[in-house]
Amino acid sequence: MSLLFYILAALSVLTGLGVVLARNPINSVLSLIACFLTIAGHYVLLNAQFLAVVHVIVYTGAIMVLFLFVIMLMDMNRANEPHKKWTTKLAATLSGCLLLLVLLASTAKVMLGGPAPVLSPDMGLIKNLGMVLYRDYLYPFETSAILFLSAMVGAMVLGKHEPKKI
Amino acid sequence: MAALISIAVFGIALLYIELTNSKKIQLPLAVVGLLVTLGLTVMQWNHPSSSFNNMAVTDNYSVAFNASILLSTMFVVLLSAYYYEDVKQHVAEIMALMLFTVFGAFLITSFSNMIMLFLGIETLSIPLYVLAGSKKFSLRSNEASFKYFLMGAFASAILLLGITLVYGASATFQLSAISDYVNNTKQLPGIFYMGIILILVGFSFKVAAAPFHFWTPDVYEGSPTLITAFMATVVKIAGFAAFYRLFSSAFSSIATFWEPLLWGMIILTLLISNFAALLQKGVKRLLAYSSISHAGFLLLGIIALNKLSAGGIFYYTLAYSLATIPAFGVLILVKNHRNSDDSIDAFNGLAKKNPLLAIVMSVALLSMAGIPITAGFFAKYYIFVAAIDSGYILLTIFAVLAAVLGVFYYFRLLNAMFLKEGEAEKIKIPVVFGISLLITTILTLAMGVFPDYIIKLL
Amino acid sequence: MGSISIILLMACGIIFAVAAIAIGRKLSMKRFNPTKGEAYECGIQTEGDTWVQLHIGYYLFALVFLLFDVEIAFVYPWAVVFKEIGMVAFVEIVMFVLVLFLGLLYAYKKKALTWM
Repeated sequence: MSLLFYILAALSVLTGLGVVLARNPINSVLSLIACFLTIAGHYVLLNAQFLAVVHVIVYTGAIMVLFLFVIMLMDMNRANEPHKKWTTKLAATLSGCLLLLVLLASTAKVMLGGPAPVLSPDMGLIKNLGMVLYRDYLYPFETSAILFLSAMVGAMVLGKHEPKKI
Repeated sequence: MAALISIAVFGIALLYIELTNSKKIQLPLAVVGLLVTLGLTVMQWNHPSSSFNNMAVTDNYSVAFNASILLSTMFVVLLSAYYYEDVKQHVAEIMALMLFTVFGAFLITSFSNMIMLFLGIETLSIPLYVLAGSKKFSLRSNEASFKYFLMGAFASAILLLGITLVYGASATFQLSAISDYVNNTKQLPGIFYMGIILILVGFSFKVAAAPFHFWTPDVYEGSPTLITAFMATVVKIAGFAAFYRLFSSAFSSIATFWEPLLWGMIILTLLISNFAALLQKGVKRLLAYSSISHAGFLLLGIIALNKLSAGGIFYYTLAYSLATIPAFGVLILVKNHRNSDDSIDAFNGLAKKNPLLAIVMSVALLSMAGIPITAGFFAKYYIFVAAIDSGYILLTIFAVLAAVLGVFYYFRLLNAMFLKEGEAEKIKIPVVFGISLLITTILTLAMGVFPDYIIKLL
Repeated sequence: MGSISIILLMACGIIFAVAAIAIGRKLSMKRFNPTKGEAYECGIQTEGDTWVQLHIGYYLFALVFLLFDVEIAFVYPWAVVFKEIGMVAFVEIVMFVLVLFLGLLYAYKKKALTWM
């Protein structure tokens, strides 16, 4: 198992780097898709098959299509790309590194305690998930319908083609 | 529970009203929906209950805040009749989105589970991102929406990471269980502290407290004025209700850890907002900075963390909303009259020709500044008493000084209205608009004269 | 489930794909001329950038699709546990789907799904 994990982890990191380093945004998205697929592999290794399937269907499938559309929506001319000042870049790098440092330091402290106890290896199976979702977490499930609805209406308000200026 | 369902049903009904395109039904339906929901909410008073495996609790705390959210929304909806008079499309959609925002606000005033907190904040925020950009052909509005969305998405992510870390340490989402975990664990793990910090960051973004306030002036200025009034009131009420609920229940036992952080944030918020407000030329931006400074005062109620806090925060948010809505209402009228000029100079000589508007605005501003016989005075008073009661004397002195500084910029506006000369003409006040402005003013004064009725509720 | 078999499967998949392309490259004849290098566009010379801005309509469709994709993800575990939970689960999912359906119906009536 661990060999497979290392292969997948290496692929995740490589494709993740590809997302950040690619010049062409389309290449970034394609790398991100590959990265998501490897993460789905991690889920399978953790015995969370449902999560893996959903990850492939929803994230790799639907959300990445949305990403591509958004990128294609934009006017990607090199010429009108705003040029950032080096001070801005420096500040961004510094604050990013600081955040990383803080997060790493706090997680490293936890890591020293050894691996977290596994509650149950079958936790991620669809059946258990369904039982939890439809019995214990019924309330968030139903309220999320309103969240989806408002997202849909919001997209229509903002995205609908207006025939004439108001 | 019934209130929650009612607001969702009326929201969906409003969507379908939009299809008929008849403006005559839209506004009354929204008002009826809010009234029905208000009735259902008030009926739950003194009937505490919990449902869905203890995920939603209804207690007097949540009922009081929900009622005040509904009241604010009602005034905003009433003002919208005039504001959207000439707009043909999307009006019912905008109202429906407002109701969905209220739905999200209800979720976070009555949450007892971290999942509901996150879901509620998202349901509260996503319609607001859209509402901020609802003036589709205004570049400023687009910018406000985009800025709000990007920053809000990051803040939500940070909040979620915080929730995850707390879950990672305590293995529970339930507030009472987290509190038990804190009490029964000798050495809390580092990620738990990290989680609290991240949750604090997420919350202070949502309620616009420094150093996470930087989005506020731009978003408040760019959004349509009515939406700004909605954002400034409903989000603040709900945000602080959830903020206090979380920190007073789950994290109250380790207050020694997060209180210094909050202490610094309060100082920073009061400093930045009051000095920045002094320099503003636009009234909308000035009100945005004043909204940040109110967040600073409200944080005092959270840091106090005693039995006076809940009542103090409730009174303050209500008084603040009742002052903010008429202030923005008058601004809408003046701005419309002056071809979208919202500088302080646009208010020059308002009192001569439009005494009613000037009086409404003055009461609102005096209430925000905390001058006696308006609600704002007792709002600050109760918060300060709560803080002193918990021993934050130095902080309270600082806050009092900040409040005095605040009086300066509110008086700049009063000065413009009453003492300066301007080429003001008579502004025609629409009936519904005028009535709602008057009601909020009367409520502000009534709350200032009889504060006991409100403060004794919680 | 041994990891060896998965690795083997992965390796086979990769080798198969790489081999097919590599062998094709190796064996095929390559003769270039300028006409061959052009983009095929019904014989007419192509003009302008390949990067065209898409219409916002695509985005709306994708978003509605995404919402229902998520809904499917929710329905899947529901179908698995439906028998065990029974009627309650049925009511739950009906309410959930109903709200989303009302949204879709609204989008349809609002003509947000018609092109342009």
